[in-house]
Amino acid sequence: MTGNNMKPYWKKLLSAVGMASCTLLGSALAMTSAHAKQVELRAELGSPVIEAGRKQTTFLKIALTGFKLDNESDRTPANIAIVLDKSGSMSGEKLQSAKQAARMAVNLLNENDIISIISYDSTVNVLVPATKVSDKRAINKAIDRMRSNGKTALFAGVSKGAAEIRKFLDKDRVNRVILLSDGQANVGPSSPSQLGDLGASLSKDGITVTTIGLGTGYNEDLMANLAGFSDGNHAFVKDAEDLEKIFKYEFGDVLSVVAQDVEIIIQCKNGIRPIRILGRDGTILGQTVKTNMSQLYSEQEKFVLIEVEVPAGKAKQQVSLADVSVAYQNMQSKKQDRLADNMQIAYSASQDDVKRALNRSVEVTATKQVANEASKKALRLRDQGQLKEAQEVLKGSARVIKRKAEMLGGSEAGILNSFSSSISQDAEVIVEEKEWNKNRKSFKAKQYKLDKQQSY
Amino acid sequence: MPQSTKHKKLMIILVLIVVLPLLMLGWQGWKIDQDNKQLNSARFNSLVSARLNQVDTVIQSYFEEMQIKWGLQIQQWNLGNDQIRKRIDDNGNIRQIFVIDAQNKRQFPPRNAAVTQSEQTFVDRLELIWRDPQMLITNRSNQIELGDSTSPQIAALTKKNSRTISPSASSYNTSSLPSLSPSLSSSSNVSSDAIAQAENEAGVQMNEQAEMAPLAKSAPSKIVERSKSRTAALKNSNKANRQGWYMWHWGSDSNLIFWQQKDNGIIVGVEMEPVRVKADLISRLPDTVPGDESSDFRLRLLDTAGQVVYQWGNYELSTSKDVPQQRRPLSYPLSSWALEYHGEPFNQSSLSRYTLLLTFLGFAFLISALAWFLYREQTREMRLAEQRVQFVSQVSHELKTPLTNIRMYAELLEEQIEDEEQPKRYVQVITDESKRLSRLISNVLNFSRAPRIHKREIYPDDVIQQSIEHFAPSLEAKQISLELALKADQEITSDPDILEQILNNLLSNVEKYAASGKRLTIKSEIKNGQYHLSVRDYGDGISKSERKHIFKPFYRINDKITEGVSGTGIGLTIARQQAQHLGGSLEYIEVSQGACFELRIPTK
Repeated sequence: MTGNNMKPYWKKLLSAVGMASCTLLGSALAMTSAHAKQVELRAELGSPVIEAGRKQTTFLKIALTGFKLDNESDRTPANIAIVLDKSGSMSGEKLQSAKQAARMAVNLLNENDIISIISYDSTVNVLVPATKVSDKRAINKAIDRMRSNGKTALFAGVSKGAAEIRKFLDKDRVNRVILLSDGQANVGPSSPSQLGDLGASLSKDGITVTTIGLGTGYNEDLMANLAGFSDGNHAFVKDAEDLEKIFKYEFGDVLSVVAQDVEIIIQCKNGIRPIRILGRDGTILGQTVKTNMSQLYSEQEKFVLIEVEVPAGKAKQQVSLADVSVAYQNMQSKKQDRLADNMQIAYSASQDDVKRALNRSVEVTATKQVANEASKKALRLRDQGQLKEAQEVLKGSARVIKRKAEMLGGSEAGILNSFSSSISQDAEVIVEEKEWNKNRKSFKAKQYKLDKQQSY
Repeated sequence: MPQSTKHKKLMIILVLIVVLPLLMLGWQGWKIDQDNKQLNSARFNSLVSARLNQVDTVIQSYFEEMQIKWGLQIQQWNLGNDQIRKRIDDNGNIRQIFVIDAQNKRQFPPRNAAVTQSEQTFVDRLELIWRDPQMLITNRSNQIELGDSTSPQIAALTKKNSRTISPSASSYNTSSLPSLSPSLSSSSNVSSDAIAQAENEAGVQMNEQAEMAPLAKSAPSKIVERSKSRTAALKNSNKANRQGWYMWHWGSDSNLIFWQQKDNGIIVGVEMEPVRVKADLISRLPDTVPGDESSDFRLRLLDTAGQVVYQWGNYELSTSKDVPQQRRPLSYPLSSWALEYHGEPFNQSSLSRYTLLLTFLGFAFLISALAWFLYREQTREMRLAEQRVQFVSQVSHELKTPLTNIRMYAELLEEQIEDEEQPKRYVQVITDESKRLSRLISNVLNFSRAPRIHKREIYPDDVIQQSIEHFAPSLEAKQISLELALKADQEITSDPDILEQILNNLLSNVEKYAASGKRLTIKSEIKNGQYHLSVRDYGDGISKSERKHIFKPFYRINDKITEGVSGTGIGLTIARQQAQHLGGSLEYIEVSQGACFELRIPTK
């Protein structure tokens, strides 16, 4: 919390900045139904106080944390389509593990949930059309019937999965397609951009897609795109035996959704210009930034980080930076809730003041996200065959993080230092030809996880 | 006739009896099979095309529903920028929306305000439409290829417009819309506008036009089916607004715009999310249940580039180059897409072929059994006949010895009684009759087995003379005058016994059946190395119809001549056989009165 780091001196000078931390109060005012639990909104600035007389950039972090579910019966009913790859490459242990994981997933659900199971190879088979999870034995039997064969009609599999979801599409349910694939999509549309478009299109209807890549044969760009544009999860599972674990995590997320269809609008003011959104997908239209999150999970923080350009100001001047408004579907009250906040920024002539006001946790987050953008750039360079350049980008990024760690000091330095060394490690790995296929997948999954604050 | 040849003949006949009907049956069966195949394959083809049509209908119904849905929705839309953006954000089917006002100016994406990045790419993508929004309404081909530079696109558009608009242009003129701008009232105007634009755009238009020509050529064939759904849409639009689909290709995607022109001239266009269209179509098409025998085919939906969008059915394609049994383009608006049917190459159902084969085999078995039965019966008959013949010849042989004795003693006796007229006559009768009997016996014996031939140098006329002498008494008795003209005074190599037998048979016939003619002429000569002997009587002759039968064994002419005259019916048969044994022939010669037989035997 910003307020925790503040000294009384600053409270006097910048009491208004403190407002940013009082999100709970602000949102409580906006709240209509007082009893239902609310998502927690925190809008923070990396540097709430900036140097006067100079145009500069700072980071704006809008974090949303799902409320706690008191007991399990409160959880949101799910509407899930499990789309399983049963192409020839899945034969043997992989398919067995996939079946095992699917059976386990079915067991986690109850009769309030809806499940459909779709398998695909060259063609698509709707093994279990969307149905209430009341007869688990019949569902498990259908899962057992799967035999591996043929090619990979991934697009069609997801399309059919989405069609099954749509039968019971409900904004008060968690509508999710969980896709498992171990191979290159080779029947039907199969470019990462096309699958990304599909993800985005499904997301507009309130369907998220989680993609789980198994082994080293799948196309991580395609899988990450499909998940990313629908704001689902993406995971790389190297060994089939870990599949069950990943399914467990995924269903942990799915079964703890407390809010859905989250729309965040940041309206910048006073000449403040949004430059970019880090990690997430969103639109910037003039001074308005708009972004969406598909779901918020219980006691998990998701955030959007925006870099803004702040015009030069005079010392001791204080300006309103942005209004933040959030609308979401509360899965407990089954109503749409709205939250609002306002952010302020102050100018100071003193470097010390600036340093003292620094929001260390936002700085850490921002550093990580910026480093993640660098990692993505390194990956693009690597893809173009510029190995040395890619390594340089990562090494540079590691140095920047280290400097930041030195600057911040304290416990944050530890976090950032270990992050920096992991980036240094990446820098070594990225030039290795051996196992690049596997490494690229874990790179991609790691970047994705940071982008979307995925829990696993 | 020898036994073995008879046997062979019988075998051949029986084999023919078996094989010929089977061949006939087989051929007929094959023909029926072939006809069936053709019929069934035609039936199969029509089934396949019905199936493809059905799929096409499913796909078309999607667009029809969309058309109705959007058509109604767009009318109620608030066209404020924020509202439009919200729509784009909330609807998974919409990629972008544009609004063009009555003055052909773009309202959304806004021209003078900030736009999002995706809106900017949209603006770039649809450059052509901002330039001439009416193109949406007038363009019939919907098949504009948008590449990197705009000039070839316009060139292509121009070419297509000038070719393809005309068929449905008239229907547009009838649509009673007041907001129709003058440039739209006829298709030629539009295309000339487009040409003018194109010329402004690029000087190299000609080259590019040539490049685009193949594209343009493919358009007219598609236009026919398109115009149908078009007019349907038009009828709709007469009531409320004008609307329709507009399709073009960008990258690998088939982009569809649904546009509607409101009464106030504002055009609202909705760009459909291309992958969503695909996903929606997939969700409407059937899935594949492994092991489901009713789907022993593979149907494929292909996009403009020929890439598979979706496929279903249990038939596994052997290679990616598997040739489809049928292929048809989709109906409007996705007319550049295609449906393919793959399946087992058509075979008549194996069952019917199997049945046919079984029938054939059954029939073959039956006929063979029948033939075998016939063969068995026939050979038994033949064996019996053979046995009988053998019996007769043995009996005849047994008769020969006592007869020889009788003849010998009768002749001895004849020598001893010299003067006594009466007894001498009696003995003479005994001798004659026993001679006749021995001739008869040798006839029978010759008939039942081939004679041994002992050829030697003979004067044939001497043999003839000798034979005639034997017959002289009986000829005399029947008052038959004999005319002889024997001119073959040359030695030939032949068997005199056989020659004599032949003549005996001929003369005995004359004596028996032609006594009424009272005349007998026997002529002989040697001609062309052959000995000719003709025996002619002046009796009643042989009727034409009987002539071909007279040489058959046991055949006896059945008329008043033969009535009351005993005979075996083998005389002529034997005579001819004997002639043949000597390498010659015995023929009936047609004469004006009576009958004439001519024998020819080689001289050596």
